[in-house]
Amino acid sequence: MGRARDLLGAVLLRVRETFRRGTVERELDDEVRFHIELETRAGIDRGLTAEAARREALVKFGGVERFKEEARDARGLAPLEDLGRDVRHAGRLLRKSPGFAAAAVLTLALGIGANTAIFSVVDAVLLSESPFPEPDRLVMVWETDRASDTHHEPASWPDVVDFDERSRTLSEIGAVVGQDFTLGGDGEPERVTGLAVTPNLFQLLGVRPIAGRLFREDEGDFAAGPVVLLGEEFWRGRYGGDPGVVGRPITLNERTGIIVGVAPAAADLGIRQVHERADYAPSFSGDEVDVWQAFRPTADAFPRETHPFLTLGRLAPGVALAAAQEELASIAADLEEAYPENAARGVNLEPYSDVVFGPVRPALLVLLGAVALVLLVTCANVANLLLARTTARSREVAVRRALGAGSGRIRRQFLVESLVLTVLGTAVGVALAFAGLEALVALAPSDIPRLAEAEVDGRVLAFTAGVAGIVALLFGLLPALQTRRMDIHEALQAQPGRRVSEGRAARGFRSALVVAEVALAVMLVIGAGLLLRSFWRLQAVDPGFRAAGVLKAEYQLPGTRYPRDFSRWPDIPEINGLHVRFLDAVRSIPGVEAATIAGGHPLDPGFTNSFQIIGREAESADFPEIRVRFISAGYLEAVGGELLEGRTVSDADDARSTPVVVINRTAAERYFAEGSPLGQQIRFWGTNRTIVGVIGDERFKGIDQATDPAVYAPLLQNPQQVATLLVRTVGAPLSLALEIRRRLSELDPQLALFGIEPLQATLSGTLSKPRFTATLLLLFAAVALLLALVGVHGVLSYAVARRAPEVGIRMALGASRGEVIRSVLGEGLALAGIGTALGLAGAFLANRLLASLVFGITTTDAGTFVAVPAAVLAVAAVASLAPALRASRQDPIEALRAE
Amino acid sequence: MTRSGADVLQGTLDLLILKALSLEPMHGWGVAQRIQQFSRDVLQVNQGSLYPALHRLEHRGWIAAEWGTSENNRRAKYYRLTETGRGQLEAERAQWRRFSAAVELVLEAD
Repeated sequence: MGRARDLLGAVLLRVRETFRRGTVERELDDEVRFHIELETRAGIDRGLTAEAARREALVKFGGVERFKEEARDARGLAPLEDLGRDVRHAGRLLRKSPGFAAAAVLTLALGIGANTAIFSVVDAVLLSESPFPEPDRLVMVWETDRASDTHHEPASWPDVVDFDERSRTLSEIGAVVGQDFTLGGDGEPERVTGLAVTPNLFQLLGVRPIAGRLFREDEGDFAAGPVVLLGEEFWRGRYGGDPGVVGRPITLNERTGIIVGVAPAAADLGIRQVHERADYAPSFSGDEVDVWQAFRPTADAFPRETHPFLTLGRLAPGVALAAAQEELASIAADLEEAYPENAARGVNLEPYSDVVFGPVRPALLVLLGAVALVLLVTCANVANLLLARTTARSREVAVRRALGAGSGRIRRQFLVESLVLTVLGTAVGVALAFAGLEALVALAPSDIPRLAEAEVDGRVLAFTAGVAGIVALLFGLLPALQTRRMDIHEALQAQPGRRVSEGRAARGFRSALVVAEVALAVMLVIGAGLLLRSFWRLQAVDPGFRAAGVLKAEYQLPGTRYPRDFSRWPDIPEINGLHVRFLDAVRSIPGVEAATIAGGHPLDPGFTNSFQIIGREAESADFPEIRVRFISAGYLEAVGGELLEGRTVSDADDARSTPVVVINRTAAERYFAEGSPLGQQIRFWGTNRTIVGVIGDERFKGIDQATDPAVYAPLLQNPQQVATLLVRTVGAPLSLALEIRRRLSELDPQLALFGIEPLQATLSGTLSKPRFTATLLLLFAAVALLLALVGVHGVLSYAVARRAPEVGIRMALGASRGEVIRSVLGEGLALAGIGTALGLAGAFLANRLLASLVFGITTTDAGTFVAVPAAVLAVAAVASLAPALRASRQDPIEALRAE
Repeated sequence: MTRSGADVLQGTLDLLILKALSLEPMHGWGVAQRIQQFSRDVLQVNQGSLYPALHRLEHRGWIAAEWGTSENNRRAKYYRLTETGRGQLEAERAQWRRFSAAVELVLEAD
């Protein structure tokens, strides 16, 4: 009984001490006062004067404050209560030095903000859950062509069917082909982005409709009229998200069908990247799929030699990718044996997630690594600030230690201070991240999947909190450890007002921090330098056309009124007539310098086809497919191409004249190295065509990829329903857009003009990914370098202040100002030099991560590895100059007197 | 501050406090005086460690404290031994005896 009561008493005591702190403190005071009173009286009794007795009592007690500290430490729930006091103490201290507080908080905010923003992108793009169940089982089924050494070709329909029927390792195979539509019905005709898909595609992906139903197996007969699922975004935008659209008719390319449901936006994931990955595919013009159309192709309409189908598969449960690859390769080998059209063809399975995220993963991971480095630099910088402050505060610490504060208490105080700084820095950093993320998304290329979903959400904030915790620990522990080594006696003996010098170890440590900062910054600057140089290289690439001043606009002729009547091929007056009349109408607009209608625009990859050179048929069998473009008169003038030999396509090259082609320089050099190609004939699509000219190389698939051999055939000799108008204008290209649109609707009010943009924007769009990565990395590198220089400056400034007396003596003994400046500069450059050397080594090792991001240079590009260190040392010299000058300008007498 | 005598060995202070309080409740100064007196002025209690020790023992529930009035009518904090503390005193006393006997054996060894 008694023991339990005693225990309860002890517990109640702690509770009381925690919650009635004021009272307890007062009681402590009373107790001490009472003791000293009794002791004093005892002294008087022994014959001392009252004053002497009191002094002796105090001395004997050994310091009232010390006793109180110890008594507090003995108390139980003290940690909680101390935390509150430490936080208040830290707040007071920071308020007293707002400059330091602002610098530390801002630095941390930069590091934490940048990490939060980049992580939110990485989280949304790479880490968030796939909208498809068991996404690891989804694969792309590409065909390969050994002749042209291509590995990402769409498949032919009969091949898709054969793969589906014979394969055991794929539980389902579906196909997609991009098809943009003109949406008719009431109002202006509108261009919509469409995908024709096999009816099983959504089951294959594992997607559920958000309204209505999915396609049925038997839907997709082209003759029966379109059966359509709307894309979620399009449904919300155009139909106001009305579930009542299900069952309503819809008119696409002047054929009326029915809307059966709405597909979620998530079903789009990867469609765009799949199109970009393909060696050739009809261009996918929109950011998302507006309409999905059920499609069951037939072998008649899509024979074995045409390859339009982007094919997806789902691995059967438990089947490894390699096993499926092996099985499909053997099926492809059988097909190659059975059908001449399949000569040299194989198959290539690729995980769907690699196709979707592969192109963007390296860049994002590099950026994530870069912000992590920036964070390390910010930590080092703030630690440095704190260390300098700790030294300045060593008197305070020494006094508190002498008064009996345990070293644990003081360490905790420093940790709490760093925690308070981190919390403030994190708050500002998260605010920065919100703003930064918006800018980031605006700057980012539009083809980064799921980028729009990036937001600073709970997951991201949890990540940030984790980062902040590590940060606080990293830079908070250092000063705390430093105080442990502090010499109390030295600190106490120092004259008030004179700065206490920091120990050799602390000085060395601060220098090491600065060296590390410089090294990290140099790594980042080198990375940024590589990307920047590579970006300049990209921009300097001659694309083979002059994009400035050119307007691009596309249109599509619906098969209902503009049929591709193969019996009359190529003389189809409906199609060719419209092209010719439209071109004439555009040419008559004032401000049009040149205009042409082509099958595609520059940088549109278009398609490739097999071909033979007449008279060299045997040799031709081994030629890879050649890129085919359709152009009309005025193409070179409009896009700014170059005629090298012979002539280009003219207005006279129409459906009734002799079939001709023009080839590019690469084709001429590869296939007609001896003698002139002019007058020679090549054959494709069953027609012999005479080569009449050679033109300069134009880039086809991205500006970073070498030009393939290509033939340019007259559009009128190869009628196309999808065409691109290219206009070289006198003024701003877009100023003519309305007039051009009016001319087209005068000819046919049902036609929609789409993809209207200056060709310069098209060109610039292909550079948006390298621009994005280079810009961000440059920004991070600049921040890191700036912080590192602030570090160099801080350490030198401190060293100069500390060595003022020494410098004073040296100057008094005749040292010149130049010598003083040199010595301080030397110290700064030594720090920067060591850091730079380490940074170079680090960059050399780490920069291979950039290998997939650079163009035209290697990741050990000598220019960058020379220029960056030189530049860093130069700015380090500038950062050292101010302290150096300060040292040299001081008055020797003054400096000596201060001692 | 020159005084003959020894500082109380670390760790034995608790035992001495418990012993002093085992006679009657008293305030901190009284404890110090009592120890000094018992040891015939040989043991000097460092007062800087006396109060922390008192508070430590109070937290362990070995002694309890209450405010009372001193002989000269001043408010004073009086400490008394609890039941737990009395048990602890016996345990510590036994341990001390074993320890000092052991030290004695070592010193007597030839």
